[in-house]
Amino acid sequence: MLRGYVDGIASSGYIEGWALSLEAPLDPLTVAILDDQGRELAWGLAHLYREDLSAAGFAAGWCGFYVRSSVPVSRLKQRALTLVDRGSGTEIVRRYPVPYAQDQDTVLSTIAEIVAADPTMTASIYQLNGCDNILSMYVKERGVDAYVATSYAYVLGRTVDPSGLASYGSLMRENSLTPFQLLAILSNSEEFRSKPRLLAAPNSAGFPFR
Amino acid sequence: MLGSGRTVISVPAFDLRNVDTTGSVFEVEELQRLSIPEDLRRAVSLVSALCKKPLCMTRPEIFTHGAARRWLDDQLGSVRNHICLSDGSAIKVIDGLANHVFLFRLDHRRNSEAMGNLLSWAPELFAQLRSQINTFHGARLGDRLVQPPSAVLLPKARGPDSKPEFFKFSPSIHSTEESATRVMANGQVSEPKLQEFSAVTYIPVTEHSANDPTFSKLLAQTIAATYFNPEHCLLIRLPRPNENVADLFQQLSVTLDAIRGSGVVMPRIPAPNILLSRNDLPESFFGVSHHHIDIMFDSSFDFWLYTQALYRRLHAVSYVPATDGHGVKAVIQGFSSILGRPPAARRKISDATPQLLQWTRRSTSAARNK
Amino acid sequence: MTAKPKLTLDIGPMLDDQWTGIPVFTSRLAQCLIRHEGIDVEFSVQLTRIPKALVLSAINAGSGTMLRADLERASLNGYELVDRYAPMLFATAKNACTIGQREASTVHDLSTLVMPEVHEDANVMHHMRHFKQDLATDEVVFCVSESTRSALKLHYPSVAGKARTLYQYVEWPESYAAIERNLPELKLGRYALVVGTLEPRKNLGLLIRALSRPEVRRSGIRFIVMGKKGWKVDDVLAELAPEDASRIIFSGFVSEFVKYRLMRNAEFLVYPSIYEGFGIPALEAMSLGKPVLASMTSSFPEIIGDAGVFFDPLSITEFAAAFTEMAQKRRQAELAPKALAVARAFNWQRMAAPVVEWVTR
Repeated sequence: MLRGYVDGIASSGYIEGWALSLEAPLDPLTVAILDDQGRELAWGLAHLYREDLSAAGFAAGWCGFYVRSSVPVSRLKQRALTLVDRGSGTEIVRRYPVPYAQDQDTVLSTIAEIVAADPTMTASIYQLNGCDNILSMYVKERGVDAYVATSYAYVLGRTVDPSGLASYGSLMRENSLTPFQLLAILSNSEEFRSKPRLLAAPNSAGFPFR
Repeated sequence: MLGSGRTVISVPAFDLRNVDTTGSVFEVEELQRLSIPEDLRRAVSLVSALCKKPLCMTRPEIFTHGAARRWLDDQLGSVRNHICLSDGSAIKVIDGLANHVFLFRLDHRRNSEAMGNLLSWAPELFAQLRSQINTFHGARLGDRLVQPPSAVLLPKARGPDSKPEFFKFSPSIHSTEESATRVMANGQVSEPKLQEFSAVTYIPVTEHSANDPTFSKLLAQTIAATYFNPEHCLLIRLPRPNENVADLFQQLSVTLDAIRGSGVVMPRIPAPNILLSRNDLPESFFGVSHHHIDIMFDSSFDFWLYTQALYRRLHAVSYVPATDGHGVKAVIQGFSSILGRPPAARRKISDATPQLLQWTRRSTSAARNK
Repeated sequence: MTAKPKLTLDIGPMLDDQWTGIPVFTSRLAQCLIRHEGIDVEFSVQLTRIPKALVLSAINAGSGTMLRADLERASLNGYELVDRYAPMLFATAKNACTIGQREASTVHDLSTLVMPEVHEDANVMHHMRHFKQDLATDEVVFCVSESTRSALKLHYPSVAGKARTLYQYVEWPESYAAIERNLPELKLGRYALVVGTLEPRKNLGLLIRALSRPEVRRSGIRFIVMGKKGWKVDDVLAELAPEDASRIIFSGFVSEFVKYRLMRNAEFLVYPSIYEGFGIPALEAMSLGKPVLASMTSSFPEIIGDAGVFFDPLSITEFAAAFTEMAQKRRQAELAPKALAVARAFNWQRMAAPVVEWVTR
């Protein structure tokens, strides 16, 4: 079952919203925005992180879209927009009118800005705090030790040492530590800070807990 | 040795790491203007004398095939010969040219070990060479020995040397470190007057030969004998500095360790007639009139830094062959051609080691297996 | 139905955390052999069979960290051994295997033999100590380029008859184009992307020295170097005038997607390395329609073909002249379609073919 919404139109030329498949929330949908004549105005992946979506429990927050309109957005102000799954053509929602907001054009003029705009990686570990269900499922299916080892591999890029496995494993078994809290601890460690790594977004192929 | 056509000389890229050349292929004059190690400079001068206006390059290996190789061929023009100056770590060949190798700097242990590995890892490469200049190496290829013909090339003149620094040989009864410290503490001594001795032996030690039990034992035996022969002067050149043997203390330690480790018994008091030299002795040091100067070295010594005139003036030349026994015939041929006579003796050192080869100026009949 | 011929592929290089060079090659080899319907490929590390699911996860992740962690955990329970009667292909050196009845290994380059000074001694020893034996006991020796094959035949003539070329390919995830089209544009000005470090072989020093050449200054083109700055770079840059040094930027370690973006928006790729076995960044750039400014050495002319401008990597004059040519938009426009055409010739079918030919003979 597909869910989604068109949140608004931005003056910089984008249409914003969210969409997901409830059966496979971590497999981003490719969506399109159509006008009432069925013409495609914009399309792209619904894979961006939004805190509000995380709070709402939608795909752990990773199902936003922000797609560039092929027509000037000023022309879309009083028009109905339909959100569809581009692959199947299935209509997800139709909205009229769609709120219009002024915003600034974003320009990426430094490497740091380009990296910050990279949606395939997490910008911070806290973008994973909506992933509790996913992480807990992993623990349930594979076991605590497997989870701790995978967390070390994911965050620190190395094999877990026996003492880490023992102490964190034991805390998790006592329910004194949640799966997400372990990820947060590891990413706040001196080891991670001295050698920071890129952490794959949960809806990307590189996320090991799927 | 070299056929018709021009020659390109390749030099170790590591030696040019701190300088820039105008390109991958350049004239030898450009190389000679650069700040390069002295032994490389002498090697280039030596082989350049064989060739008419040679070209130089550092990395022939990067022009592997196709357009890259055609580009190289355009740069090389009428070049038909390639002489690879190698420190033992790599031997470069250029497909289609007559390839020769000039190995030097094998006195550094790292290089001689690298050379040994290279012959073991890539004997087919070695087998392709038309000649090896001033070396006598062989490599096993299956059940046969491959040995490119050896050509001997010596300079007409040695070139300038820095003033030698002499130290008295002062072994301690306790340890190598103490011996080295004592030698340094005693300070430099003045240059020996060779005319005051009836015989002089010069033994240039290398980092490689210091780690050869055969050579070390011969060195130690010579030292012990010299103690009891005050009319005899023994001059021991310390190993040339490199990253392992960076300073005088280390040069001394390597040498004294070798002597100590040989197990040969000797007095532990200073010997006025046994001196250590920090660097190579210039040819002029040996003078022209002394009648009895001997030299002993092994395969790792860059003997080509001295002239044929010097070798022919010496009373005896002793050569300690490589322990693998390869190349003894070629050594005999090579040095016999330098000295103008066959070896006078092939002295057995031990069951496990090849025979020491000796050429003496006077003796013409062999004194075998002494 | 006749059973498909089997092949075991050793994927040891894929255990690395961050994939460059050889691990990427191994991953592509694994993928193309999985796709090929003519053989049944299994995977191993050190003669131990690895479940396909774990291999696919590593391929998807683009990293071997999880695979390594899984192997460590599973090693306590034990994995099965490989089928020694099936042909065994090693994606790099096999290091004296001779367990299999039919073995093949892959030679990426001969740098540890021909330029050992650019490697640590331990690395030279690791690569070379079993190399001759590997070649002797391989039924086929795969070389990642004709350049490597030529060098191998020159140094080991006895292997000439069994040396084959095995070209890899580039495939960007399909989603990248879809992602990029909706992201804000890059406004970095004119820039070329650069592959290199200060190591002598990678030859970034040549580009840095060229920054103060008038023709490079005049172009208005900046240089973005993929990867971390590395030690000593600041010392070298300090020798330049500040306005010259400011024209070179280091990206740091970035994701595959950011690399894709930087490559796609660059005018061309600069690859001053003096020697490569294949040079996958060149193919990556060409697959995005970018021509390559590269050294006239080793595999570059072979892989880049007529989509590049070449120079002597030890000549700053030649580099400056080649750069001047490539800096012209008109020249880039001529080369861009050639870059795409050249890249298309490298595909998964072409990579799988020589392996399948060996397995099925």
